[in-house]
This record gives sequence, structure tokens and C-alpha cells, in this order.
Amino acid sequence: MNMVVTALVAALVLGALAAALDRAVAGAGPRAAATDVARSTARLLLTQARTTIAPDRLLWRTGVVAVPVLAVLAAAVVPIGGASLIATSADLVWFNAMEALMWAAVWLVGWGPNSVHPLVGGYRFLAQGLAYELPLMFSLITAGLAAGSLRTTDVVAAQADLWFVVTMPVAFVVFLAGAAAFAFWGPFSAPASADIAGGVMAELSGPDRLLVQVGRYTLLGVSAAMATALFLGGGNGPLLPDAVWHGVKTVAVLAALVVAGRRLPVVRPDRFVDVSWMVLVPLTLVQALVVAVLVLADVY
Amino acid sequence: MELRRRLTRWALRRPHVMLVAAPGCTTLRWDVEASLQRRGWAHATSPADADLLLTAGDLGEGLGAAADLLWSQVPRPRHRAVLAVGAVEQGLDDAAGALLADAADRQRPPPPDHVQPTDQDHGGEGDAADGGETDGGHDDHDMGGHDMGGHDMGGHVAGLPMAGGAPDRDGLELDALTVRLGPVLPGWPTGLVVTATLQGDVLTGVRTTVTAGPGSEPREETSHPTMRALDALERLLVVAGWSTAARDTARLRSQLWDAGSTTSDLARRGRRLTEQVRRSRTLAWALRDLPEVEPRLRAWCDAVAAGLEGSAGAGAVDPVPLEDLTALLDGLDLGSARLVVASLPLDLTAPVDAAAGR
Repeated sequence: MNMVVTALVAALVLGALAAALDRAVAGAGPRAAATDVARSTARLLLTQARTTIAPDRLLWRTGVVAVPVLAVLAAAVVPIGGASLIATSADLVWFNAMEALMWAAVWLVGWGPNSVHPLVGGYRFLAQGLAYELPLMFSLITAGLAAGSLRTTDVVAAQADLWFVVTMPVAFVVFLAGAAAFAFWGPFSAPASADIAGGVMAELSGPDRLLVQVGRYTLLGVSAAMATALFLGGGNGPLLPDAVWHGVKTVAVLAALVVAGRRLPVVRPDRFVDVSWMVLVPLTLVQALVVAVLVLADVY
Repeated sequence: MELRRRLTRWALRRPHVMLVAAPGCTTLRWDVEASLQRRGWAHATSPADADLLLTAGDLGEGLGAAADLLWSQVPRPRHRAVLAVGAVEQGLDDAAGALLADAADRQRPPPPDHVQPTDQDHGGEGDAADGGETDGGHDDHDMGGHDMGGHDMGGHVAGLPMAGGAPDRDGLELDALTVRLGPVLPGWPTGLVVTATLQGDVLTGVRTTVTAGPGSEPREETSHPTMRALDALERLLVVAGWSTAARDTARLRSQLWDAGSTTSDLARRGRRLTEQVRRSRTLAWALRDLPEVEPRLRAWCDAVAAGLEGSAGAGAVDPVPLEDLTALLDGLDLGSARLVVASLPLDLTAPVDAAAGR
């Protein structure tokens, strides 16, 4: 039980941190950013949850709740200090499954309110999903391939001598880009962009809006923690305890991701699909091939 | 109780604003936006995200009705106010106060007989899209405030037309939904209404109208070319989803407006911003197959940079007639259409009604 609470709090703290970093880069000063996150949360809690005409209430609500729930469930397999909340024999598949279920969740958030802009936002998320899903899966599996295991704890243990990022930089970058895409954030925020009045977010107000925002930022933070575990040796490091090292690296990854991503214009989903299938899919496949050869050569 | 009041005050200190300014009221809008910038109040992307609905200038009948409709979709606590020339600061202060009053009112327990508040005079004039129980004094949102029933009325649900099927541009049978874009959207020339059939995200059968109506004020002469160029650039950056660059543009515009004339600091920042925009590969890539948009982006950048340097710059740009816009939009996807509209210098004070044949 304690473990559950710890994991939940850790996931939400990561989410809040992601949101604060995002605000800081988006224009508020570094100190104002933290206040800003707290204030927007309070504001949304005070605001009425409105509805639309003839919404599909059940599906809409399901989608809204599913976004943060999936983010927390994805956090459950991130190994911290040699253990994760849920230890399965296929943690990487679990993480991938939670992120794949985001397809359904975001689509429902777009479909539910019976309104044009959210619907278009939902379509855009699916188009974007077609672009990021395969490269993301390949990059996840590349880490598993090198470790010879789908358990995240094994992946971290396999990096005792050599961080995976050294031999699989492409997988690392693609994983982070995929994370930004399934959190539909930064350059991949087309499903919620201003040209469609906020897209899937357009009809959400009050607590509903808060749930989806919490889910998005938590996904971003959790993905940074997962990237640290898969490619940056997790908690491996001298002197300090595992959890501290993991935390430090996660914050660094998150900061780099937010600073890099926030300054870019939105990538249109149709363009992203082009690049993804023409460049990213072949690139991640070559990356997996290189790693497979290195595995045979006993590098890991 | 006191704690709760203070918490509410803190939470709503930076309200999100939806601003509806009549097309002819550009200088008033600049006043308002400069003040919002100084206060750090955010612009809402949709009514669901708004706390305040602010209107500026005489909206006329069409835009007034649109504002009513938006108001019906703003969740409580909320406030609606009209801003007037010379009273912007006072108007915004009052609006913030009234918003807190509405929040306090909402937190009070409902009267024993559950009578709804009687401030119904702002409901969206029965035009279907009322945002449900936005007038409800409590947030029991599962009640579903709209008892409009009316299913199975021949292709209508709750007064809204359902999508029908039709062959799309590739000959596939796809849902066709009639949509109305505008008259109020982020990065959109307020007052413009585009009606079209949406299949997937492709627009066909485009019609463009201007709802500003006869109530609009006469057109101001095209002074302040630099302000207008900054306006146009910001609009395009907002629609392109480049939020940090759009933010910088809005800041420059507000500071230029506050300062009255350009300074060396503004010139330096203007140069840096326009360089950054011109050089962005991601942006160029997003605009690649919209041949008319990118040169205009560059033209706006040139006008901004030159204007902030203090030189006369390119001067006023000739507005594009709405008839041309209609032809430009037909067959584009929604995202591209938004970019094209945002890039164009449009004159909405000359009413027209144009349709693209299909």
C-alpha cells in the first residue's frame, strides 16, 4: 500500500515538475512557473465542469478519466531503486500497452463532446499515432534486446558498465519524441492546438480539463523517468543512493526535453507521418540491427 | 470561510479572457491587449477555458449574437463585460471584481427550494449550442441540464444536424458535416465566418461572410503599419502553433503600443524575432505546400523588422478581397485553411457574401 502511494505521489510530482518547466519555458519566470501550476490547478478546481449538447457522456467521461489513469499505470513499471510498483515478466510491453491505450482515451475525449474541433483533434491524434507508434515500439524493444529481458529492472542492471544511450542514441531520441507525441505536447500538440480552438481540450472545463492536463504532464514526466531507466542507466551512479541518481537524471532529461520541445512550432500530423515512415522507421530498424549485432559480439 | 475567500481570490488572480472586438475597433483592442499583457492575464482558446468574456466596440447584430452564444458556453465562475475607449483599466479591474463575486455566489449553498439564479438574460438566444447547464448554481454535471430531447428528428440530434454521407475528393464515401468556422477563434480575424462541408478534415463548398454587420464602426485609416504587421505575424504564429514566438510577438506589439514609438530595445528584439521566424525550418516545412503563405510570412517579418527599426517599411498592405479567399480555401484541410486565413490581410469592414460553387 505504501508503495502504491509512493509511486502515485512520485508520478504526480513528476507531472507537476513537467508542467512547471513547461510554464517556465513558455514565458513565466522560473519562480512564477511553480506558482502558476498551483494557481491553474486551484482555478480549474473552482470552475464548473460544463457539458455540451447531446454529448456521449459515458465515452467522454471514460476518456477524460483514462488519460491520467494510464499515465499512472505507465509509471507503475518504472524501476526506482531496483524495484517497480508492478513487476511483470514484460514491463516494456506493459508500458507500450498503456501508451497504446492512449489512442483510445484521447480519441474518446475528442469524440465525446459532439463538437467539431475536439473531433478533428481526435482524428489528428490518431494520425499522429500512426506516425510515432512503430518507431517508439522499435526503440523500446531495442533496449530490451540489449538487456536480453523485457523487465525494466533487468534493463537497468544490464547498464552497470555501459549506458545504453551510448550504443543506441537514435532509440533514446525517438523514445523521447514519442513521449512528447503521446502526451500531445510541444511540437506534437496538433491534437490540442490553437488552430482548432484547443482541439480535444476545446470543450473541457474545470475538473475535467484538470484531469486531462494532469495526465498529459504526468505522461511526460513518467516518460523522462522511463527514458532514464532504459537508456541512462537508471539509478546507476557513484556515492549517492539509486533513487537520488534516478531523480537527478530524470529531471535533467525532462528539462532538456521541455526546453528543446517548447521552442518549436507544431509539426503537422500529415508531415510527421511522412517523416516517420520514410526516416524514423528505417532508422530505428537499423538501430535495432546494430544493437543485435553488438549483442552477438557480447558487448553488453 | 475567510480562507476559502482568499484562496479563490488567489486562484482567479490571472483570469483567462475571451476578447471579442468589433473589426473596426483595432486601437481599442490594442489598448485592451496591452493591458492584458501587463496584467499577465491569459487568452482563452475556447469558451470552456474562459473566465471573462470581454467585448469591445459595437458588435452589431451578428457578432453580438455570436458573443451571446460564446457566453452561454463559458463555465462559472464567469463574468461578461463591455470595454470602452478610455476606460479599459477600470473595466478590467471591475471585471476581475465581478468574477470573484460570481465565484463567491457560486460557493454559497443553494436556496432550500433549489431555485436557479434568474440571470437568464444572457442565454444564447435559443440557437441550439447552449453549453448545457452553464447557469446551474452547482456543479452536479451529471444532471445534464439540457432537456432538449428531440432525437430522431430526421437527421437532427438535439437541434444539431447530423453528419450525412457523401463521396469525398478521392471518391470515397465519407461523413460530410456542415461546419461554421468563426466569427471568433484564436488567431482568426474576428467577424469572418466560413461555412463549409467538412469531410475528414477537408473543407468543400466554402462560403465566406462577415458578421460584423452595419453596427460596426467605420474603418480606421491604415495608420500604425508596424502594429498591424505585428498583429498579422502574431495571428499566423498562433495558428502555426508556435506559442513561444507568438508570445514574443504579442509582447513586442503591446510594448510598442505602450511606448507610442519604437525604441532601440524593441528594434533589437524585433530583429531577433523575425530572424528566428524566417530561419525556422519546422515552420517552413509546415507551410511548404501552401505557396501563398510563406512569402506573406516573410513580408510580415520584413514589415515588423523595418517598422521597429524606425524606417517607413513596406507601408500598408493591400487587403485581399473576400471573394478570393473563398476560392483559396476550397479543398484545403482545416489546418491549411486556418494558415491561409491567418496569413491574409483581410478587410472585414467591407461586407461581402461570396460562395465557391461545388
